Amino acid sequence: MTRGIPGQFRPLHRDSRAVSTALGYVLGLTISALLISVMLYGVGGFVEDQREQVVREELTVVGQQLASDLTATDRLARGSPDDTTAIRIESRLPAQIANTGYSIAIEDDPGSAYRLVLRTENPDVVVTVGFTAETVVDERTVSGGGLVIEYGTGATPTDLEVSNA
Amino acid sequence: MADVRGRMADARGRDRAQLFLVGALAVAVLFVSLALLLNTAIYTENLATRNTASDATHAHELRESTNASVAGVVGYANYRENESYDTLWTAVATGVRDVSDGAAVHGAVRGRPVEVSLDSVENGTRITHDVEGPFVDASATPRGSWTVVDGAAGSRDIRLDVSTTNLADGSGLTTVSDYRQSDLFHLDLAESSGSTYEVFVYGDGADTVSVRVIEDDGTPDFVGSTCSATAGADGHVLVSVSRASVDDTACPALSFAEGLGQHDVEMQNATVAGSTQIQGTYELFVDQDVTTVETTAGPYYDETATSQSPYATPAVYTADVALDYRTAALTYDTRVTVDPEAHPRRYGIGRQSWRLSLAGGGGGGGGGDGGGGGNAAPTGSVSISDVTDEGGNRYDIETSWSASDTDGSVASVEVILRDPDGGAVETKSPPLGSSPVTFQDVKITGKNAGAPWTVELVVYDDQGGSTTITHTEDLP
Repeated sequence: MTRGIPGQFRPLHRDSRAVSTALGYVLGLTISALLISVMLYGVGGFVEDQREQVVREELTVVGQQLASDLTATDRLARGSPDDTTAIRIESRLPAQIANTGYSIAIEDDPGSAYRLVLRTENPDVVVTVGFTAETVVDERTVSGGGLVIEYGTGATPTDLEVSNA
Repeated sequence: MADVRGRMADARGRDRAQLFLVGALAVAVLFVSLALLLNTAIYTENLATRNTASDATHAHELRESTNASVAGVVGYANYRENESYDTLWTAVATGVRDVSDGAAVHGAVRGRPVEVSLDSVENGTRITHDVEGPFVDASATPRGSWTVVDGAAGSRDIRLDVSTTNLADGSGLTTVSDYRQSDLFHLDLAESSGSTYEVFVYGDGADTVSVRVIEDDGTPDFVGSTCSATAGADGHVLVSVSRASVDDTACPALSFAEGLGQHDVEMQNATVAGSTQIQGTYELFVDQDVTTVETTAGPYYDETATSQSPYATPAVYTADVALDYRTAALTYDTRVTVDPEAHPRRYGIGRQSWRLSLAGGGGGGGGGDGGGGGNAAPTGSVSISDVTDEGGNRYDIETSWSASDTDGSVASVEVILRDPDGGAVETKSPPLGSSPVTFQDVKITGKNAGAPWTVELVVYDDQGGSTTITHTEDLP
């Protein structure tokens, strides 16, 4: 029971009626925990998003590099109209992209168009790069890293063959 | 009651601060991993700027330059070392070795080994008519219609330098039968299994030479349209069947010559009933051994006879060279089949001389006279003072020369010996005042014997002017 002169107001901050210290404690903890976790979740999501974007960009760049090496080999093969031509180009691609491995699949499109499909598992990103080549390119899947493009040697000498170094 | 509010308030504050601390630490770790990701992004941008395809472009350029160099070697051998197929092979092999050494030095500067080696040589024949005259054969009673080559696997570089004098006129003709029933000269390329191509060359008004092609694959038809050119000051028009051009104009009708199968080459109506229908000079290369050409076609003058036309000499038809090129990322092994037709001609009929191409169509000699205004060009004189026979068709040619400049002094001179084709056999840069100059062991054989050789003196003065003086004489 508060003591005081009836009719006089008590300042609010000294009014401790209907306040339980345990409830206040829990409320404070909960609110700050919620705040922190939401912030963590937001930033974590942002970082994950950025990672996927970086992986996508780098896969595109790697795909374009490989495509340009393949078209350069194709041009050289076409400019050497002889059965005894042997060409070997090493394409030094990075072994990992943002700390994950990746795979490259070469697929045939109608006409002299081809597709390079680059995949990573985690995060799950798929990038397609198209290119054209008059020489036949063997369809196969290789893992990322140092690659070798060969023409005039191997199983089919008239085809461009891509393999891991 | 006991006062517990104060302590509880303190406890609440501390707990909240710890939570914030842990949360901030976690966010900081996330930001660090974000920074690492951005690092990867920067690396990707760097990766994107690398150009790995430049090695392949260099390989392509090297292939083309090797083709051009060896084509030059083959051209030189065909005109200078053509006594027999053995001397031709030796000359081409030596030349290719020099090309390889030169390319290796250039490649070594960039750390890229290059090697060129001669694989094989296709023996052929060069048929030349280089004395201005009607396109007849070399029999006792010359025939105007005769077989140039019988059953050649291929032919290249067919060039006719046609004179407007004595050229039969065919200006009024329109239909195929008009042409075929006329007396106009035509060069026939008759495929063994395929069509016969008749290239009609005739006059079309004053100083104009026209070319018309008829293809006969059962039914004769025109190929393309008429190509014409007006003769220049020398009164000649160069009809190049292999380069599909008449003087400097392209003539698509003549492009049939690419990709012909085995064929005969014949000349028809070079003379008709004793009157000349066409005259000038011509030259062609065929893919057939010279002994076969001389027995199944012609007849031709013996190559050792002095300056008679037409004659057949051994020649290299084409050559195969092996090219090896290595860089850090590229290995390139290929065989290049040299294509002399595709490169500038430096010898023989219709050649392009250095002076003409540099001066851009000016006079043939002296392109480069007198740099600035007000400088008098130097003067000089040159003549052949003595010719000594060293045996084996080799001669020492002694030339005496003198040079002077009216408004300055002579800086240097060059003495150039040219053979009847115009190609420079030897160039000497003697010190001033050291006349006479002797060209040792000059080989004069075959058609070059008794033909006009030229000695050229180029005098350079100290103000950038120059003069060329020539002296022509039949040797030996």
